[in-house]
Amino acid sequence: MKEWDRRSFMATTGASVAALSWLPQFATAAPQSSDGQVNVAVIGTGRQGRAILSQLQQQPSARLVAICDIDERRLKSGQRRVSGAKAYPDVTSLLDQEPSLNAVVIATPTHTHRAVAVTCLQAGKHVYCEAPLASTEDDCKALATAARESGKTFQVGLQARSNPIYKLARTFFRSDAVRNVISLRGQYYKKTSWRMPSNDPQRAKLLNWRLDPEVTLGLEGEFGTHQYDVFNWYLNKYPTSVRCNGSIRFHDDGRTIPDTVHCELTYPNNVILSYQASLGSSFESQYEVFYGSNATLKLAWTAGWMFKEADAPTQGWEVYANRQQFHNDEGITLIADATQLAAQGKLKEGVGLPHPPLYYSLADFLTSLIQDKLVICSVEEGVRTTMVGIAAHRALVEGTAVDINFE
Amino acid sequence: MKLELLSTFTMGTRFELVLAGDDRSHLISVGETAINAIEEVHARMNRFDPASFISFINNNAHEKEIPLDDEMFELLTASLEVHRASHGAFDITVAPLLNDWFSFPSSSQDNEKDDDLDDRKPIGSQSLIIDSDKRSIRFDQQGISIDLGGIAKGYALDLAADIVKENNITCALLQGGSSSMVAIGTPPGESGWKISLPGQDRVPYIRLCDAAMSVSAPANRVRKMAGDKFSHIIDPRNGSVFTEDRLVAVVTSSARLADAWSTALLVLGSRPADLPYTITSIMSEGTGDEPTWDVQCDYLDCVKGSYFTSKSTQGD
Repeated sequence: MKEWDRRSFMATTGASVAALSWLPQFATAAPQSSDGQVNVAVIGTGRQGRAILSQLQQQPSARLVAICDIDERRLKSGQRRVSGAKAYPDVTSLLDQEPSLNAVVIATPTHTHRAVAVTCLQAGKHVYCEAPLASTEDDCKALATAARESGKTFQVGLQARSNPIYKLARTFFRSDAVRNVISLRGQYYKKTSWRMPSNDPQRAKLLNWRLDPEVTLGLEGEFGTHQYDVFNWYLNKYPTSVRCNGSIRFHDDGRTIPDTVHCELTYPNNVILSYQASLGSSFESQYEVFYGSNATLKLAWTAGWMFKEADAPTQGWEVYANRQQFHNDEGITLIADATQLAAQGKLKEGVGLPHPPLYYSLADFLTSLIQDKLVICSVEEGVRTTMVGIAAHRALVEGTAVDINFE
Repeated sequence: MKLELLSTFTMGTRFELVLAGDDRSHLISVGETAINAIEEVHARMNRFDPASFISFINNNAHEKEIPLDDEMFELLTASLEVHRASHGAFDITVAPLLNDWFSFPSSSQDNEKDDDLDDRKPIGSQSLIIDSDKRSIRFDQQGISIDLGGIAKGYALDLAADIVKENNITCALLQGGSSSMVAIGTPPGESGWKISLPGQDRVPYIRLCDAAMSVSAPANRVRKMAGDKFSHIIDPRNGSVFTEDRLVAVVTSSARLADAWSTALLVLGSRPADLPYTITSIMSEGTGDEPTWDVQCDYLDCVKGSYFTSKSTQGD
């Protein structure tokens, strides 16, 4: 994020969030080891943790010294995918026995983030924590306080903010290419049960926290949070209320958590975000759409397009752009570093991202440690977006509209 | 007993898992976990994906040592062992040659072809320097590109089979690309999963039980360019394209070894005398009505009750 973006962000949102006043973060201890590499541990080696391991493996500034998981099998499966890292069954022994550790990446279940992150911050470690940050408002606030008091770097894993395509699309959005925002739409569709197998009932409960009504934020929170953040970040605004409905359409296996949800989030000026998520269909997967009077932006994680209205002014560069046809609409493919690639005659090769978004997010975290820069997504920003996810889940559970404010 | 079929499209092909059991939601969650494992292998080992670990190795190992995790170390070591035991007929460094063949313009004339292609020699696995103590890899020259396509599909199926078995599913068939498969247990009342091999009138089949199988043949993927036949299989020993009408099926304990050996035997045409692996091999030559079959059953009695035993009892 450019500095002027951050300042304008603070100007528009800072005043309304007195309880979480934004403070710059300064690292008080050496963020890296003497040879310029950051000693990193990954806590939580489930699917997301393993994805993090494989992306860290390719970061030249990271030295993966340890992994940690309370589940023995997950720890073993993580261990198979790393070289030279020690394995620990709990956070305490990790912190006790790895004094050279500079930073941790937390990929444990959402409701455990607070305990893990606070312990690591108090031990003087910099933290990258997956989103949503927590599953309750109290945990969010406690995390923000702990991060601030520790003086350590804390980055929230809201990856869109590091995604080169999303960053490019945001510059178009912020420079008025879309003009009047008409409406917003997002979806997460994936045909999967969300259920993890285990023969041991206790382990099954541990692994299936996403289906556990006591702790889960459901689809509307666990995935919604990542996608609401795109809208929050682009608009520099947060929704003021949310309604949410859900039902079990497909996975009728005794679960009580809906496998399909519809949410309506109202932003200031009555801009409505319509969000759908389902585990019963994979059609069109995951995307966010900004409908505007001059152009519509569609962002789909590793790709993005701009659909211009016929009467929208021409900006010049579109003439050289790649295009893709979607039935009756023609999308201009958004390509990061397009000017540079065009000069090399390699524009077509730039379609899509060379690395998964996670790679860029971890790279940003390491850069902010090594160069002592502001993080790309601070704990305060992460807390606000997480509170939106928590509100969406509450709206579903309570069956009423829930107001969102950050007091 | 219920049957669940789960599938995914990955590694450029379709993977299917057939799982049998009483608890439908258990079968689905196990199947999804197994499919996730297959997709994770693809994400790490796909050399066409610039973000994969194998691309990272391919792009950097000629400049510096790349540390290997246990999984990659074991798979690369296994690949090199088959390379040695097959006297070079299986080789994971053959990829750049494949690039050359496939990028060769199909409009080229005969007289241009020979000069460009016949000099191509594979770099060879001997250029991969694996340090077993440090668990690292280095290339001793530039231009090397590891392609695990000959073993990764089987490896992914092995991982999937481990997940299926450790979750107490005792009856399952897992397959990828209709060429690699793992059979767990048997369908109720049968001696094994009935697997048909490609054939003409009389379809040959075997019964697979608690074993892995892989089938290799250049068929279907042979294409003609400049009057010559080309296929996706290259003889790594001399760089020539393999287009014989031969089919090889290998049955053994793991799908990764079955994958590697079916490719190796296809190129070799017969089993090496000093084969240090216990495998069953089924090889056919010719595509006529009656191709000749050579069956050597060392690994389990998987051909019992199959086409081949009935054939041999007829006095073969």
